[in-house]
Amino acid sequence: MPMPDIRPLVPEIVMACLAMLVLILDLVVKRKGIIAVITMISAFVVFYALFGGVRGEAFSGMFVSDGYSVFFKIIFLISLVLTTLISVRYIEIEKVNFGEYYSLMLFSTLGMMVMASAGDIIVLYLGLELMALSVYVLAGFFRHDTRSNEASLKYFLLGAFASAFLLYATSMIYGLTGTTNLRAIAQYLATHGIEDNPATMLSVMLFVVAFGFKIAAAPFHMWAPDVYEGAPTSVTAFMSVGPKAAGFAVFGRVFLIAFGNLQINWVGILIPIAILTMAVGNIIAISQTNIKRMLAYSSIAHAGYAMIGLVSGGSEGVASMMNYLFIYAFMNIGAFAVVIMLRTEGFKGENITDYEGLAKSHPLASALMLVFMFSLTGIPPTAGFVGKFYLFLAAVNAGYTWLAVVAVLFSAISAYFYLRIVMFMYMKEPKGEVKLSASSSTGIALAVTATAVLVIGVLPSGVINMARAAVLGF
Amino acid sequence: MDSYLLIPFLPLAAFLINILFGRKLIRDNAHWVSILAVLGSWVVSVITVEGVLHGNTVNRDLYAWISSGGFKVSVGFLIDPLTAVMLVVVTTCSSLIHIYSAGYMHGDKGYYRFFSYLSLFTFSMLMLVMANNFLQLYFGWEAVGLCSYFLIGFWYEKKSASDAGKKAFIVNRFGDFGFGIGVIMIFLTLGTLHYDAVFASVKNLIGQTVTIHLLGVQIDLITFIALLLFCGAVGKSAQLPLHVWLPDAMEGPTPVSALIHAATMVTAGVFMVARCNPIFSLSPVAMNVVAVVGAVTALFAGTIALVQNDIKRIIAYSTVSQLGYMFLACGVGAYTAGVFHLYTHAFFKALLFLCAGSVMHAMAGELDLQKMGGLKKHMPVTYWTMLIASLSIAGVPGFAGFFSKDEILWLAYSGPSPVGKFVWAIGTFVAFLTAFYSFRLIFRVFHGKFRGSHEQEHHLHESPKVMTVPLMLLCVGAVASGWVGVPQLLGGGAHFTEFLKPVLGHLEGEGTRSEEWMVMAISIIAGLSGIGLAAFVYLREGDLAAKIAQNFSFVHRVLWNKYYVDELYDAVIVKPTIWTAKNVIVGVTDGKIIEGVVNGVPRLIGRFSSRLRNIQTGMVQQYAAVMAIGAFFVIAAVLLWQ
Amino acid sequence: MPIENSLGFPVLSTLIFLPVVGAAIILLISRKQESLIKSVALLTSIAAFLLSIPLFTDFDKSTHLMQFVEKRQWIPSWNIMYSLGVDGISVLFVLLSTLVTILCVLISWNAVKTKMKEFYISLLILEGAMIGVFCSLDFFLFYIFWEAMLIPMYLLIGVWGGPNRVYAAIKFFLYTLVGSVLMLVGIIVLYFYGGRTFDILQLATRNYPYELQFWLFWAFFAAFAVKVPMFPMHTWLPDAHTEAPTAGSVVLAAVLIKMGAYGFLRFSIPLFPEAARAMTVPMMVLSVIAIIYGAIVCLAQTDLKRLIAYSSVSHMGFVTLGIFAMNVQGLEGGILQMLNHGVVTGALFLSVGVIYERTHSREISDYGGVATVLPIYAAFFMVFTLASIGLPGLNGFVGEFLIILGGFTASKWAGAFAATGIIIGAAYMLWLYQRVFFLQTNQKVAGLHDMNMREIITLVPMIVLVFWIGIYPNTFLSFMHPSVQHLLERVYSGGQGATYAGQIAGLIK
Repeated sequence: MPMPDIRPLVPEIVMACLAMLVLILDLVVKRKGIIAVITMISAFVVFYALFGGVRGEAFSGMFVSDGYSVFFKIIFLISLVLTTLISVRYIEIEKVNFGEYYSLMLFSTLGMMVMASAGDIIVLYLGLELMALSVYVLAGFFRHDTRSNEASLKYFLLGAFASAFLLYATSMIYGLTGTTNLRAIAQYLATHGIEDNPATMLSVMLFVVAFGFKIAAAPFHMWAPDVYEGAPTSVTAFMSVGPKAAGFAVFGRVFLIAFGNLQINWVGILIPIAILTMAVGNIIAISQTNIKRMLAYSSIAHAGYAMIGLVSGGSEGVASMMNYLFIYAFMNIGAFAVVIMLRTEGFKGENITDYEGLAKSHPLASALMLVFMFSLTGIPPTAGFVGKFYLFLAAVNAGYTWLAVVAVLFSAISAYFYLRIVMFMYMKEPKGEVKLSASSSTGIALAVTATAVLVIGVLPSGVINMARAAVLGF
Repeated sequence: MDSYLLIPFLPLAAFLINILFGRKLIRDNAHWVSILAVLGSWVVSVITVEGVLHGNTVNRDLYAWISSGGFKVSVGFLIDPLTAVMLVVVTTCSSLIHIYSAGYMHGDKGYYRFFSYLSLFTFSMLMLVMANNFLQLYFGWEAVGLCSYFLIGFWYEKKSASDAGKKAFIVNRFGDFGFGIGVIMIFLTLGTLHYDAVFASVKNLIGQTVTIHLLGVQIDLITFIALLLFCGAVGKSAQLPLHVWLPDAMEGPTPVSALIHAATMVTAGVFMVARCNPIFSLSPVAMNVVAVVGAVTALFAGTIALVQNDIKRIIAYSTVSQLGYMFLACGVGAYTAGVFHLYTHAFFKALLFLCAGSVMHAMAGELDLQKMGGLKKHMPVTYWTMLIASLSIAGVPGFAGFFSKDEILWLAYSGPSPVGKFVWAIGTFVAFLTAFYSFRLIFRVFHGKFRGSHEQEHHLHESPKVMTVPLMLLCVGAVASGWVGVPQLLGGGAHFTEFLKPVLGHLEGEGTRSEEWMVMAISIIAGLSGIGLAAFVYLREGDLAAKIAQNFSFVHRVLWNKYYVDELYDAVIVKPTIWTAKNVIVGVTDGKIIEGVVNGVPRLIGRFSSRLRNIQTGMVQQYAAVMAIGAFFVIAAVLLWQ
Repeated sequence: MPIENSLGFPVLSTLIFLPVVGAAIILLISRKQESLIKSVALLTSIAAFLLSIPLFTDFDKSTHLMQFVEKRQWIPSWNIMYSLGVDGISVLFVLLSTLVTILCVLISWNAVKTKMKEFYISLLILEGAMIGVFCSLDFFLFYIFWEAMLIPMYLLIGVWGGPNRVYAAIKFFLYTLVGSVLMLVGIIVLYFYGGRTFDILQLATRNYPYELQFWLFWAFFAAFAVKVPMFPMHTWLPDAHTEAPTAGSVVLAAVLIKMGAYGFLRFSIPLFPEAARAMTVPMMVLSVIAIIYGAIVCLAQTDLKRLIAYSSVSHMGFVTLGIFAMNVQGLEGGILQMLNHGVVTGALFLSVGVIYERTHSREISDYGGVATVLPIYAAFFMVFTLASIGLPGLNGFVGEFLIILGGFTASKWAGAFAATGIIIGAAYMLWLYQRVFFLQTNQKVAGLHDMNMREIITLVPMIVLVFWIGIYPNTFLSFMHPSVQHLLERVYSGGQGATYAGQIAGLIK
């Protein structure tokens, strides 16, 4: 048997090695800041490997390195780097400054990368579990904090539940088609005329449930608020971007490649889910008093928007979804970076009321938060607007004008709770003195995210073209 | 030469100088600026009128004011015989009253303000009478209204004064509403607003009708336009039913009452109707309306004047009544007679007001007849001049008012108007009323014993020269201004009529000389008997007047309360509007309905949000159950749908 | 692309971004250097105004074509251009925006004491966005500016406003956002129907099916009607105006709410001519309701700013009436009235700011006899009051007269009802003036000092405009003729909706 072509896997292999290296270094390096730096260097090394790497399939199509996967991997790596930046000071304050933290992040990123490249459901499952297990641990990283433990356990239990759905769906499709390769499934379904088979549809729907869980789409979102609230804030920031994007990556690949011909069948169920997700996320967010929980619901809502891209289908739809997730990574982690700064020794800083009068004591941080909030609302000239605009463009192009109308109305509702943060910061008088745990790494993260949000808002061509190019080989 | 431009713009310059520099720099010298300016425009006016007498009329556009698509209108001037008459009236009265005011307003803290407003008024009035198109007329029309507002409310700290100013402006706006639409109708049907073009082509509209949809009424187009224009005149000239502002306008300083609310501004309505005679003459219906409104107003105001005690209000109602006379004349087609009366009225009515002002000056602001009496010996000049003015208004032969009133009555009687005889009868009766209340005023103020307080009696004095000289000069007008229109019956040349003929045409009465003599005799008798009755009631000792009032207490009460028109408007228009604003719009539509939706929807979402929030119990079993149920529904939906 | 204008540099871009640069400079100045911050803001706004003067002087009044055009590729993937230009409809509003900003800086000089840096940054960014809205010839660009405006305005109201500012700010934001997002979908639909372009001028030459025009008309209506605001979408306005700081109210009144009417002129009518024609009746009915309703409601107001805010509803009713009269006089009157309203209501809010700074009260009953204490101020306010009630010779008259003329031409009832608004207008404004300036001097205003030089300078430009437009409006009307003519040609170039529109119009004429 010839040596398989593993060149497309190089980034993942590098990532795996570096993750283990970080794990080992933790034993010798005392200053954990160095580990954080190494983590970021690792990300850049993988970045390099990714750009210089070979596109193509490996293991007879089980692993695919194409533009699509690369685009998602870039999102993962960006979220990894940004999360690392905002974690350094935070985990010090929380006194959980362990090297494992970084290696777990690296491992989960590796899992996501595998997911994005999965050409086969088995590989997909492998990546998904690698990612999920790492994140379960990260969510419970505050060993002495019951909330964190609870979050971890809930996430684990429900995640297992969702995995079961995934496995069941896989077994059914395997039973029907005799393969787990996505392209082969599509081919089989097309040539054997079992596209309308109830069993096929059942399996498709089981996939919807499983992936819906990962992207926290309603009604499979129940875990998200509790987990987001309980997990360490840096992990929440990470979770709301990376794993979510990974979920969309597999969602897109499975549904558009394996079940691409069945689109008319599954769109009918994805649209109500998308609307429900936007509704649940946006409406419940209004009555939240904890900012992490509010951002959790916001994150649910944004999954709903991104699903519009999926529903619209076609290369434009997928590109708009990818574009959205890319932008979302910046604005959401940016927002979390501000949230994290409010956490100081002895002060949780998670209540929305803690933001009262922040603009007076910390004008810069407030101004940045303002930018992120408006971006999350989708007000130009921020990137959030460009992201939504592309989604609506795709939706209208695909004939779902009414869905775009529904989405814009929900985004108008969302203005209420995002603006509430701005209102608290700028329009209320401070109750007490609020200190910020500013650090240079958080500063860099904020600078990067804010710049990205504004630059993409004004000059979005680069990102759009990238997303479009990524879909070409799809 | 365009020297005529100086006529309006000299007062404008005076206004600008006074308003900009009056408060700090000019102060007590403000009258010089204004008086010189108005005398300047008087001089130029006289020269210009001289030119008009020699046939040099002017009709020239200064510049394009508004142009939009087919709508083009200029600022331009027309000086023809009608304008000439108005120029004489306006600049003469204005000059004399300016001078009078220098004495009357002396020491007032708003001295410079007063003179700037007077100058602005003079400018506006001149722009009004010199306009050569409807829109500029409208400009002057509103601008004089504005000055009237300023001057009525001159003592703005007094609530009654500022209320009266506001009332004048708003009531006028009701009339202007119709006037404005009339102007728009003229443009829409004739495509221009220039007088000459409009009057030349208005004949083309004969026979056209305008349909008012939703009401389903068809109206003759010219009648429609004429009546809309007349709405404006009704407001400005205080005719029924928009007369309510003029008596209240007496809150202003007396020179203002003389200038604006007697001699000039209020006659703008008559001027406008006369100016638009080519339109009105084509609509018999509109003419009859004008005549009847004028006659009824004359009667209505005349009766109110009988019982009032405030000397300025009596004169004000007399003005309303006399303005009714002028409309009566226009309505029967006797435009020249109407304008003639306008011209004579300006002098004797301004004189009456200035005399009243002189009395007030002596009485320290007191206006109540009941507190006067026997002032004759204290202020002879005022007495004699006021007596002459009253003789003039009462229509005693030889005085100015006689000639103009007689011409109106004769033409009403003899003219072709179907309502002519009717309005003649009313007019004659009003002549009697006029004489009565005018002399009631004279007798109560100047004759008998002084009824005021001791202090007031001590204060009585004749006014200074700066005030009495204008009185005497106006007195000349009150007597002699009528002599330019002595009818042929009395061997006169009727020069006034001849002068205005090219603009206003001339109505030839159809009647014999004996009929003409009869009409004249009846009017003289009416006037003299009015004076006689007043003498009988008021010159004798005793309380005859009070007894009459008691015996006819209902009539007296109605007249005393001015037929309750103010109360009616308050109950029908003012109160309901404010009530609607407060209770319906703010309270219900804005407050409950629109805001209910606007705030209700977010509130509903918020409530929904708090409700939904409770789904999240924290129980992991429940989460799994929701997921499972969700999955079940998803699968069931798809499978059933298939 | 070479610059094709007589000035030789991209004047419109400079105008848009100069204030933003000014804001950036202020950002770098230390918070403590307050007078430096104010000076930079003032200098920036003056520079922007001076730069905008050539638009006025070098404008070619003989053509309807866009002038001072700039066009560059921006987002080629969506065929989006960075495309700017002004025509006779928009050019005057650019000037108004630059002028008003100066006045806003001046009037806030002593009034704004907290978060001064943020205040001037917001104001300048707002200026840039406003100019951008009037200059954009690309829908995407337009929408960016249109929405971006909301952010600084939201802050201006919410941060520096009155006691109930937070409610007002959120209300303002959500109201306008809901309207705008519907337009956004409309824009996207149009993009696909119009051949994948956002070019407004190109889109305005295509013909769309009537059905589509109908729906898009209403989608755009949502955005513009809220902004104008037309009845019954007006209730955000009194709250926003009342609570906003003086500068905020002024910008809102003078420029922001013009954008709704501008939207009708630039988009609704030329893009959907048949739908617009068919919708004249409901539009005119709504306008007339706004005129009368807005005027009557003023009679019940006890708050100075609230009264002026409601009067805006009434005045803007005139503007929309003129626009939907769809004839030369109506449209030109409407555009001129937009300008007039900007000048007059802007000036009224500036004036209220002058006294508010002294008394900190908006209650009418707290005033009285102000004319005795502050005679110069009273004179200024009187001129604006008279302009507001449409006195001939002042600017309000010219606009209102042309609108009523146009409205009357289109429908006698509309014209006649609109004219009643002038009666009520006189009633509430004069009553307001009486209660504030006349009568006995209220203890609360006794001893206040009259306007200082800075305040006089702030109001003088408005006075000049009031008289200029009133006495010689042709200076301004002449800008509009070709553009309005062109617009009307577009509207009456036929189509399926014409017959339907004709039938409806016949019923009400």
